[in-house]
Amino acid sequence: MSLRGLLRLARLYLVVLLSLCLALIVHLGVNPAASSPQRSIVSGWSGGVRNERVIVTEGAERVLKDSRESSVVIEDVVDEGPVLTTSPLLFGWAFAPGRDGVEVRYRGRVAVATPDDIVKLGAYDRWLPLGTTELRFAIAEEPVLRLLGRDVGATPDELRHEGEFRRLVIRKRGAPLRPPEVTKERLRQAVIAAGQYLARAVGPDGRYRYEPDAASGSESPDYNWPRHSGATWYLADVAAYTRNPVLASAATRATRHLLDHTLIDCGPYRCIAEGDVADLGSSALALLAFVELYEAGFMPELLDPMRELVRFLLAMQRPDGEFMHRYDRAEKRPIDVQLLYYTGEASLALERFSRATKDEKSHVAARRALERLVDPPFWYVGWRYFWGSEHWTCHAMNALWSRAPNHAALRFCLDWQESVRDLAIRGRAAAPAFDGATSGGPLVMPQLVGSSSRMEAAVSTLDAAKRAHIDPREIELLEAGLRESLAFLMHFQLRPGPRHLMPSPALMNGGFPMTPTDLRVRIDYPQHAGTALLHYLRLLESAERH
Amino acid sequence: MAIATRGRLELGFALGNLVSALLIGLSGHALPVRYFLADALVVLTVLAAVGSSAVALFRPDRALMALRVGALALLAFGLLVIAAAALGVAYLYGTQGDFGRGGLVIMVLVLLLAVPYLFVYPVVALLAIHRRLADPGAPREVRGASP
Repeated sequence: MSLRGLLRLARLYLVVLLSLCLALIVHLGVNPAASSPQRSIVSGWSGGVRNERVIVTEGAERVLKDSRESSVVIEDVVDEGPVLTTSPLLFGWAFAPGRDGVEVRYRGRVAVATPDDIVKLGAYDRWLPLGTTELRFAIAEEPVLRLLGRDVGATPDELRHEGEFRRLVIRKRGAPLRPPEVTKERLRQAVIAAGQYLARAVGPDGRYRYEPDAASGSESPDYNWPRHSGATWYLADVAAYTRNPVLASAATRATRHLLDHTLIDCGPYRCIAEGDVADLGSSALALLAFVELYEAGFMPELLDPMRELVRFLLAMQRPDGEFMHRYDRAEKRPIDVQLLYYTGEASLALERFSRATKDEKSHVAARRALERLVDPPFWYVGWRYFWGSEHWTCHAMNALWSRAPNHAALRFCLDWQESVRDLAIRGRAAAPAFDGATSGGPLVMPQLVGSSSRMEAAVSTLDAAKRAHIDPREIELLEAGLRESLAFLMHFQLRPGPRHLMPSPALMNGGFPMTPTDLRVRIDYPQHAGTALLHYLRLLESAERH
Repeated sequence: MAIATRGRLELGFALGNLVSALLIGLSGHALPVRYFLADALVVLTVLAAVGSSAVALFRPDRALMALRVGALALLAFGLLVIAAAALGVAYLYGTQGDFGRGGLVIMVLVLLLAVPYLFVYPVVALLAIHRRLADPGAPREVRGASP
């Protein structure tokens, strides 16, 4: 084939392909910014259950005015578009999660699943099996079809074959479209609400409700001791900040549970564990919580357990500064494996202990651990481009800064934050409220915990960067990205969130959900988000004082 | 010298087709779902590419025609894959709106990974073969022929 022939073919191919693409975009496209609603879906909810629904073209606010339901919610249909097929792959990506609802017509009957219904089902943003693997879909077809089928008297298969589907672009009336402004007052409210959420989650025995789902009311049977300790650290931190006795009491209960049930022998030492293998993270984060409560004067009796945990941590450190992350209690020996987070957690906890008690050994151990963390092998060039979850590293760097400033560690954290900023979500048309989220791809929902842990690291980095007097332009960029992400976090904090969907809204108030449409709240979600918000608030207050 | 160059060129495209066939075959095998249309397309393309390489290696007198068929098969496959990808992106753009900068970066990266094998290579092969065929008077290297 000659060059001319190839060029002719290429031109034809491009024209046809671009025309098809354009036609597809125009055919499927919707206008979410449309100002006036085409119709409104009015739903009456009570106890997290939808009991009434009316679809009207006008006067939505008057409908269900006399309803006995506790919440009446109006969802306006601002635009709609076609659904090409019910093939799971294409149907699964035919809707923007959190924004689009589904309408089906079946033998003259019409049913609608609104974003509220789909959040309640937990059907947005779901991993579903696809052949030998799993793929994340914007919407899970099967549960949505079951819900719609219930309303029109059809099975999912009948709907697949005979139903006519439409995509509804829905805007909830009264819902804030943009994230809130980051002010000290808003930060304070968010911080306290997160603390109160965790305080409510601590039972009389000191264990947390680990992961309730705000939408379904169900609870996960899992439990995790590092997260118990981490959540207690935040509770202690916010209790120390507010001097609130309810928060302090909850932190004390959670700590006593650790002391009474999990502080056990690890050979000649004492560590936090359950079962034959102890992990370093549980002891490190428990030490961190203990130090916070001890320093705040809530539990002065913690000095001895703190010293025991420090002895254990020091015994787990290798000569090169790295820690062995597991301990075999039966064999009474450390297991030299490394897991994510634990070295940073140990470094931070040891430095905090050192500051509280003037113990020099723990300071030296913390410093060496940090040096090790930011000193990757010379042959690994990837460390200039890829980072793990380094929030504990950056916390440790900041904690050590006043006594042992580590400029390599600061540069490491600044570089990481630059990468975080550059990859943050911005300008996603279907979800402008996600601007500033730092986890999740261009299509999938951002997980709040990812943004939270990166932002707590950002605050620590900002604090150290200001003290190190680095280039003000870099500080400005860091702080701008931080504020944008904190606004995103506060926007989706359950204060109260979609309380009409929740069987127990009072219990969930202040929690941070997994994603904007997955309302599970694990105990570490408010911990990480709360830490980011609280530490930034402290920075602002400190700057004001000075 | 000209004869040696021409021989190397045919050998190069024969090996290039094998590499492309291997990549397409492995990619097809790695797909998580078996779909007969996609599988059939992959198998046909791999057969065409491997077959053309075999003919080019063992029947030098038919090497150019065989390589042209192989390159056309690869190009057709590449254009189909690129079209499927473009329509997929258009579908997502239609349903989800603008993906933002992150989405654009990912799409460009995916495109840059696929285009060299599925578009650039077969186009280069077709042009080179066309130039050779347009120059029938030039001597050809024939395996086993006396110098």
